[in-house]
Amino acid sequence: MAQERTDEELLAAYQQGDVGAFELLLRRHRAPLFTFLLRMLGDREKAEDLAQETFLRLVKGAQAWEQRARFSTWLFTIARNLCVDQARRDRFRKADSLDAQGPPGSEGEPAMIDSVAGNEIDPARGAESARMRPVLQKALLSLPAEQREVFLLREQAGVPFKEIAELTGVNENTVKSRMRYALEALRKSLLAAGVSEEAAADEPAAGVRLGRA
Amino acid sequence: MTHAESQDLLIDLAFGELDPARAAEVADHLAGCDECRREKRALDEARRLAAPLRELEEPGAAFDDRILAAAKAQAQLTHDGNIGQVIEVSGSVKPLGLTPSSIDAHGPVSVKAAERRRPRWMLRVALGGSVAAAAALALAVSTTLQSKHVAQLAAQKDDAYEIRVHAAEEATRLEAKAAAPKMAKAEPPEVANASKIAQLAQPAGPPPVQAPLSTMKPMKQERALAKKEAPSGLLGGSGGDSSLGAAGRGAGASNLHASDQMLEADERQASPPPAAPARRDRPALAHAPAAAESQPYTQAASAEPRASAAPPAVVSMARKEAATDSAESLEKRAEQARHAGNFALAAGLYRKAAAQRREEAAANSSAAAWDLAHAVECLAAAGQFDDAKRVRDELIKSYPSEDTAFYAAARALREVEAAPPAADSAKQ
Repeated sequence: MAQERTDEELLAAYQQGDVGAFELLLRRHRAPLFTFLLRMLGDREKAEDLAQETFLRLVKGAQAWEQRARFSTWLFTIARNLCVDQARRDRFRKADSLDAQGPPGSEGEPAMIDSVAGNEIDPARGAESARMRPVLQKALLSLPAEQREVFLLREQAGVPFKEIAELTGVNENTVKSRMRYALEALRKSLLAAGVSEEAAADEPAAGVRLGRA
Repeated sequence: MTHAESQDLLIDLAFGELDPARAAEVADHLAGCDECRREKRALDEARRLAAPLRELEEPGAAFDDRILAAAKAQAQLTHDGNIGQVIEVSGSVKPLGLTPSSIDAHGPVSVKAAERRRPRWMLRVALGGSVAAAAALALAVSTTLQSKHVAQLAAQKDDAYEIRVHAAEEATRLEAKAAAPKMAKAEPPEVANASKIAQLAQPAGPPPVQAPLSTMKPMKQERALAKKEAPSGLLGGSGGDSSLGAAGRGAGASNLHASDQMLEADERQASPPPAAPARRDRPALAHAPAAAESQPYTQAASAEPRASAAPPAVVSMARKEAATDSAESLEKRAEQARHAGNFALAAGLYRKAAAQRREEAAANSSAAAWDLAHAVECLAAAGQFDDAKRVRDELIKSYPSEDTAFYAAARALREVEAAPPAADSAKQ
């Protein structure tokens, strides 16, 4: 089998009119992007909307894209900016909406935590992990958005610190300290919520794909 | 390695972002430093606890559909030479008409009065406008449009739209295709590029506000070219008419003549008399009504009968009439045109209304600002992004305190200005 083409090669092919190449890109990045947005927003429907919007913008901007820029960085830049807009809208709406109350002290958090629980249980996954995920998501949503995005970009999307710095427009040291705060806050709230290391330990350490046996 | 250095690098170590030599140095330090070791352990523990968050989840089954449809449409716009006037269609467009082989050239495009719960700007359909569009319409239309606005209008008029796309003979199409690049080459490069630039909407800096005419020129010339192309296609294609370009522009484009002229009238009013560029357009414009009369698209262009291509006398009357119209009636007409999907005309009318408002009391600056904002929206909807950006710049310059109007205008352009990160970012 021929060696897999890189994202950048695929996008270049799409620039030449190869829609199949774009489809490959879409399939490759659909789940990571959707997961990023889902964890970021805590709401499946919003995450799907924004993920779709991200790809639509990608389509529009594809011709102007330059090979020098990394595809995934661009993808997450668009998605991240859409998240920022979304948070702004949510905050605005919350001002006169009683049914949307974020956790106290959090900024612009969507109040959809409960909806995360229950409707995402995938029988293919370990029962323990499924039980924990709502707790984890809740802990994640209680982080300030800047910490949450850094955590997800690095931990889930695998974007190196240096690129996160470019993507979010802050310097690398700030990114790293946000990461440290995020990890420390998560550690504390997860231990307090009774998540044990044994329960989490059956998760492999690096990039987990859904659908593994 | 000092303790402080080690502290800084713990997070990099935890995520494997240190080169081996550096990682070994930190490890050495850790061996003798309880504090750093404790912190490193806490970082690792947090990552393990949160590991389930890394599991990937899939979006719903229909997630890809809209994206792939857009990707295909965009690829065809860019690669089949159909890079002309872009008109936003509200409604759903089924992608089955997008390949040349499956086109039903005789299929009528009907406007249904179906109500959509969530009307969306779904797809940019390129309809004529550039020379190449004459060839490329064969690819375009066999679609069902559902448009609330259009439906409303149709209901008012109590008759449905029908945009007929006549079959062109293969030979005609090939001929036209062959002719297209030649004609494009014969013109200054800016002409060939104009529509492409609008299409790609590269985030170039805003064009100088001072020179509206010179920057408008390419588009006008391009349309003029399309106009010239239409009749020659008619001659070339026996039987099959040349409505490739013409019919494609049916709904909006023949109205564009009128809107061009109005915009031009606008410019003349608002600025010193135009020099050479406008005059260069004149022969083409004069030619347009004649071409229109002999073309089927004049019949097809029922979307805005009032503004459909008319004999020169009528057009100039309309122009005079427009010049004395009140801002309100201009706004009303603009709104009608906008609802009919005739964005280019609407944009022209809005700008005219804005100019009118400006002459009235200063109290109307908000209304004028909003007229400009609407003009930006309409221009963006018509795919004329360069013009849209210029009007937006004019808006912020003339009415810096009208935040909401400016925000509306900026929003209309946000999509095309979402661009890839700067080249050097993400380079690694």
